[in-house]
Amino acid sequence: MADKKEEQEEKIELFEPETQEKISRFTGKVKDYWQEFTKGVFSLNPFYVLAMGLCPLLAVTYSIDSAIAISFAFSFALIISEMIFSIMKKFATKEIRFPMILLVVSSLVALASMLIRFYSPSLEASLGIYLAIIAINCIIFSRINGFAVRNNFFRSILDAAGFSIGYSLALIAVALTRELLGTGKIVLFDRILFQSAFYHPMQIFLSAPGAFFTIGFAIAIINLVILYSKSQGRKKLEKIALKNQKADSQKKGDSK
Amino acid sequence: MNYFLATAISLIFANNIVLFQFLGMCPFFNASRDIKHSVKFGFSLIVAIIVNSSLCWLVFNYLITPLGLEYLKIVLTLFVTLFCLGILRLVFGGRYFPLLATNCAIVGFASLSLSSLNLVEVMYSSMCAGIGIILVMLIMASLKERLDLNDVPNIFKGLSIAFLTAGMLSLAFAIFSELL
Repeated sequence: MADKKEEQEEKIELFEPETQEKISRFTGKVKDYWQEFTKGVFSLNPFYVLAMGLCPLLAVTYSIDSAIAISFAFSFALIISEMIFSIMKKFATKEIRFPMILLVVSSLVALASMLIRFYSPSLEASLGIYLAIIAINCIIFSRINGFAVRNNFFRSILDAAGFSIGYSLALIAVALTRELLGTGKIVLFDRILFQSAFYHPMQIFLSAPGAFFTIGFAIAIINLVILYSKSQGRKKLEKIALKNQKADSQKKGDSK
Repeated sequence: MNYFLATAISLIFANNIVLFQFLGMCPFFNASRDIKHSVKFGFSLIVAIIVNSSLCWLVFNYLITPLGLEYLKIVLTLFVTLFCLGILRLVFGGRYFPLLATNCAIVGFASLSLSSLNLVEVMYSSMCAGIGIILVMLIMASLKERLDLNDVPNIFKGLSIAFLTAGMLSLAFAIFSELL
């Protein structure tokens, strides 16, 4: 028992206290920035947690090309507009902020739609108004209003990148399932990636009710994962609490 | 007469704005339990949709197309919506009009109706679209009341069961497309 106590007291220090402080500050910053980045993917996922901007999730996930196009346009608009508004904080007073956001975001979305039209005009025609709807997406508004106008440039980029990655992941996941189940093959820009012969394709998944069902079950699966991890965490905490109780009772027994 | 009936059935039931064209999802899923609130919101929505679509169509066809500025469609729709909602707020003085500025239904339907042929068509179809939205919102609000009383499994509670219910609703409304 005495040896263990001595080992605990002798901490081997690799660095001097000054450099140790700098290193801990650096790792603290890295953790902070990483948390800013993954906030948009996990803790504040726009579809599953905040339930905002659901129109494209249902409307556009019938094929992967459309999902990729919309996520590109969304990321483009979000990242560049957050960059702009984090720089132009002082001009965006409360009175003028809303029309300003509308102007900037709608111009960026028009630009993105022109880019998509240049790449493949049929894709842009099939997307129709859902590309224009990105301009009033609630996520972009809330991120600019709630974050970009108050934080500096680097954090805004991280935040925008995180949210666009979370958005794209959600869209592409739903599009994959719907296309697989609905047509039996995954077609990426006229290239067949995967073709399954195990089942007859179910056309309901390509239609409107199928979208609702797919997303309902996707949210249920994510809830399952969250509840399972919470129950595991609770079990771990209970184990630690039991250990502490035993240690306390042993100490009392020793002292007695 | 046939035309008006067909448009009405199409926009209210078979191609419902919320269930089949997926515009106006946000108030649909956050439909409050209070039905009076939903009705008031629905009224302001229908007024906003009619006025906004008509204004957008007029500006697009008589100002923008003669000048050849069709690429400004998106920007135009948004700014006319903003202007229109501001005017409606002054005239009617409700608290819902500023909320509707980021509503996909109003802006989306205005974009959709820009290619219509005349003003009567725009106004009638936007009225039908508004009625469709109100109908689905009321049905969803009452369904949510019942869902609260039922024994939903833990996994499906919240947004998941709302989506599945909406899916059932859209399946039910899809039968009307056989009529057209």
